[in-house]
Amino acid sequence: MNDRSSERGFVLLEFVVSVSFMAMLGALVVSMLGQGWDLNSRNSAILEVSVSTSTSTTWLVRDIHVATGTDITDGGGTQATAQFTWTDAGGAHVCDYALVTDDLQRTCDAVSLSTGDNISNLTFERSGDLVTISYEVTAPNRNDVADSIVLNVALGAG
Amino acid sequence: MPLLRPKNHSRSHAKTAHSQRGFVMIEMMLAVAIVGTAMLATVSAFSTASKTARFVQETTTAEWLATSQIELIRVATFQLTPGTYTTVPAPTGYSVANVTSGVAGGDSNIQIVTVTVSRGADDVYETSAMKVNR
Repeated sequence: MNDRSSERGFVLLEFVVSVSFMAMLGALVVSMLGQGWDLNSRNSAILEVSVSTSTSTTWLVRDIHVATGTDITDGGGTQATAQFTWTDAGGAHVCDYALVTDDLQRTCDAVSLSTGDNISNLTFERSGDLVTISYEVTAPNRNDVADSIVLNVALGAG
Repeated sequence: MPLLRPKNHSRSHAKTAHSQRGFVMIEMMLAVAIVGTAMLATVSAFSTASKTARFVQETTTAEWLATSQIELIRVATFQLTPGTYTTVPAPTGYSVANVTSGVAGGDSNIQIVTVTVSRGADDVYETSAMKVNR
């Protein structure tokens, strides 16, 4: 009887230890899943900002390099939109850049495309042949993932 | 260590109970090993994903910084080799440097400008361009 009693207590102790161990393991797994979820969200935000930064800068550099004219006043401070013009074998081209909601839209020869989204505080400035474009790219729902871009491009350098 | 043990303690079941205790122990060790391996794999995957995202972010920032620097040098007055040009302001943690070098043949009106973007102590991007005195 004494043996049975002590063995029951030992089994109960084992059960409590086992449940505690499982609870700790469960808490660890939940914590890891939480960190994984946050990391995935942050990584997606970084990729989104990087793509937006990369495509917008590529289009701006391309157009400003070939441009021979612009409506940005030399030494006239910042402005929110810009127009670039040039003539090539295909004729005369006019390209406008403006922020539409949070999209940096390029409208070239009446064809519009978004060169990057989640963009804010867009400004254009010109000093001689140097055009400086400033803007911020912020990931949606992740204010801790953002890029503040100050891009210099030489007008007509292409 | 057994997690749960049958209540039957008769002699006829002693051998069975003994072998079952051993089996439960192995099961638990296997379970701990599997869970441990899975956790190690998860932590490793987190680390790799984090490094990849950091690399993408650094490269993107470094690319536009280097482009911005090269464009600034394009419109700048030609500096004699060896020399440097005014650097562009960089975001916190980044720095941009440039250095000029001569070309083969010794034409002093042509130079190679190498732009290096660093983050902390690490160089994350490097690009070169020609500059001509004209």
